[in-house]
Amino acid sequence: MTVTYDDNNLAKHKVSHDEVDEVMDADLIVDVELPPSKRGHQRVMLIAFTLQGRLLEVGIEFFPHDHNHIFHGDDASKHNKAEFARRIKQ
Amino acid sequence: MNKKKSHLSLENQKRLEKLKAAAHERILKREFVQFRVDAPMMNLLLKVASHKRQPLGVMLRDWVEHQLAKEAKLLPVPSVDLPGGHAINEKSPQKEIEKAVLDYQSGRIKLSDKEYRALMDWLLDHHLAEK
Repeated sequence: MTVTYDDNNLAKHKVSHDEVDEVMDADLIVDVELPPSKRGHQRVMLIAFTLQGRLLEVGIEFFPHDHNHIFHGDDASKHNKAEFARRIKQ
Repeated sequence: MNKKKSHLSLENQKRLEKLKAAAHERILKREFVQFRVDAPMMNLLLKVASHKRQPLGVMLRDWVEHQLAKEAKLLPVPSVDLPGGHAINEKSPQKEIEKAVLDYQSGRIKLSDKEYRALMDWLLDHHLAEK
């Protein structure tokens, strides 16, 4: 399995690789399936807290041959914060 | 992959499971944790550490270890069905869990990898708590 990161996107939103790991490893996590990328790959958005308590959204594109690309990381949008709150209460 | 119901396809859930496991390993290997405190608390922490003549990091680590040992003992026992209608559950004494692990290791009983790992993790956490 391999992982690559869009470091321009992460740097723009001041999100580190460590924080991406913390979101992926979170127990309280909300996942949202996104429309496929222009390349036709499946994509998901994860919403979870980092260890420092920052609520982030992390976008992942699934490439063939077990390759994953983190194409987005940012503080959770208003919509995703609401989605997180709604699904966590379920 | 999480305590909440996933909205993803099974295939995507499996890919995320692998990503989560790899991320978890990287977090463990950091052997480092940091957190924010406000200025008044920072001031108080420095004062207490100075009074105790300890470096702040050493003092905090001692506190965390002390509390962690208490909390680890409260971690729930994993529920595992054993052959012959027996089961490990929250009422099982530690000796019974150790026996199940030894029975599995010597081939006397069969457990799934996940069940074996859950029992071993629980025992390791307890062992660390008792150190």
